[in-house]
Amino acid sequence: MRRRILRATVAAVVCAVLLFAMPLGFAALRLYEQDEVRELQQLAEQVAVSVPAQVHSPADPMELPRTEPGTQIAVYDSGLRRMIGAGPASGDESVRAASAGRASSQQTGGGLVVAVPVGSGEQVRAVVRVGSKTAEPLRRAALTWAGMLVLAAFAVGVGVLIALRSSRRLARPLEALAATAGRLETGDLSARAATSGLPEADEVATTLNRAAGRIHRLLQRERAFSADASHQLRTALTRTRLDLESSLADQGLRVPAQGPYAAMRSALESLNDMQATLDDLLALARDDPERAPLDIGTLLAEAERRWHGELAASGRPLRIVAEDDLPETVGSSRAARQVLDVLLSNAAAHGKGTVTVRARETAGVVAVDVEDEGSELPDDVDIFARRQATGGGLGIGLALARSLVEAEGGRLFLSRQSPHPRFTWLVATSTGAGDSDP
Amino acid sequence: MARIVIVEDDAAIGDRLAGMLRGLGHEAEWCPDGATAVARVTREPAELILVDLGLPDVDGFRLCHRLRGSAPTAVLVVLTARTEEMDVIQALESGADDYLTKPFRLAELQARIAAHLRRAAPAGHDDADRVHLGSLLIDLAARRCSTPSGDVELRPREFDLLARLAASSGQAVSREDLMSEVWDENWFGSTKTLDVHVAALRRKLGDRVRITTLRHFGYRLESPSG
Repeated sequence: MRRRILRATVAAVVCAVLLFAMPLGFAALRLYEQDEVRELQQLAEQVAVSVPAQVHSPADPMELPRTEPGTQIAVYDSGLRRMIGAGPASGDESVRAASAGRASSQQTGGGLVVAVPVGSGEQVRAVVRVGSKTAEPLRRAALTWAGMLVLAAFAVGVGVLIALRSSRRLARPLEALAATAGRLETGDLSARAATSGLPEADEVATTLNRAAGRIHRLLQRERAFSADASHQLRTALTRTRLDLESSLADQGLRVPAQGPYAAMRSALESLNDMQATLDDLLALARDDPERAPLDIGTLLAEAERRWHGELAASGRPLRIVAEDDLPETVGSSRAARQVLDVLLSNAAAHGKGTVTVRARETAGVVAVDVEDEGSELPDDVDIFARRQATGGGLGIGLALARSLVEAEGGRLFLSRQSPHPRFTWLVATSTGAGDSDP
Repeated sequence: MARIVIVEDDAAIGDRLAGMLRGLGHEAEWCPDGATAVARVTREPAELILVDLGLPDVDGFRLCHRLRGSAPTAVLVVLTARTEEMDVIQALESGADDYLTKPFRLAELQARIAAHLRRAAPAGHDDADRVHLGSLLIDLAARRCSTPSGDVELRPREFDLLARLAASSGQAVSREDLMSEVWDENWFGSTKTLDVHVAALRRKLGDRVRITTLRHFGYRLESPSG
């Protein structure tokens, strides 16, 4: 995205500079050439004035002015023969043109040639030819082009800088949106896109947030419904079962094969079927998102790197312990990192002494304990309740961490209250259950 | 026989369970909510507590915590309508010893209660009634587990489990053997209670012993090296 914006802007700037600079460069070259022609013409006119009336008179020899190297001056008579100076022995095309009465200039392979007639009207007595081999116009043009190139490079540079800035400004909101969508996709339904000031992106963000909120509410309602239905049905089944079983038990082994007791037996059988159906339905209703494996070892090592310094700064050690050969875990590593960060920042802000993070196995799943040596928590406060952050963000952080953990099928709870609080995070496994049962 | 407290908000179930347990000769009491249960247990210790996780007044997991605090020696069995594995493990991590999911069979509940109340057989201890495990000393006759820095408080089943594992230290012991020898030979259903007790042992004994999990088989208490 950023690269595309950058590339498009740079291409536009380069095109504009080229379109503007090429004709200008060409015009500059032509200008310098004309300058040179004019100079040579002036020189030729100067010589022409000094050509005597009798060109062939030996009594009055001509003197040609000194010239820069590379400039040749020659005087030709009306028969196009060179009389004096340097140049071709017999007059070339421009000399011939001048002998017809018109001054001429010509670009030849070796440089510029200018010829002016001496005399008036039909009577051309002689022709002065000035040839210049210098690459002066080209040299001056090259200098100008170099200057223009520097300016063009500067213009393109400024263009790139502006493009970089605007590409960042345009891309950042979209990248943030993509990141939020990614988090939602991995199951972090608490993710929301922030507004960026870019109206188009904000519109998408608002819509995305609304959609995420709706999915979250729907999912919560669904889960609550499943849990409620399960609870109510199971309680009713338990009650009925107890009634039937205890009445049958009262009869002992002398249950007649017919009559009400036989009916109670078959009712119990039906209850078994109902229970199996209930289990199947609930298993179907449970959403089981596809989840990537989560490496607890790496996660803890990262957490140590992030938190070691901060805790050490206040003189508190951080101890990370992990059992060998832990069961496999699944889940988003981003969410897992956030959960650990919430627990550790909670320990850093509200706890005391050594902070210990321990990964261990319990009943076939991985449990991560985070504890410190701080004072016990009050008994009557639910620290996981979402409330206003009065005590330095304890409330909202833990509530968020719990929702993140539960969205993946794990659990986060206070597993010890005193003497020091300990939080335990049961990390979700791929099977959604431990495999310890035979 | 034993004092059993039932914490259950459904009156019909609570009543039935209490009646059934009384019929078996226990002293059973039914409490409709968590607050009553904590008060009752604090006043008069119970040997076994049946706790429903879905109570109206208090979160079931926190209640487990509180009951564990008020009645440290009681066996806590959770009766739950929640079937998600994680809920069960959370309950066990919150202090429960065992669980049954609703609806349970009466026979199963009775078997569990019997297994939990069964006292460890006072085996005839001979010279080997003291087991040394590195810095750990297990006194089988006095049912004490001590270290150079003091005794380790173990609950009865935890002690039995440690003793059983220590008896074959360095050898793998299957889940079935542990269940039948430490709890009940007729145990059926989930054996998560074993995992919780192992977890508790690991926590209480720390680095002094190492209990290795053998997945799909059982556990092994490593012999102390050197």
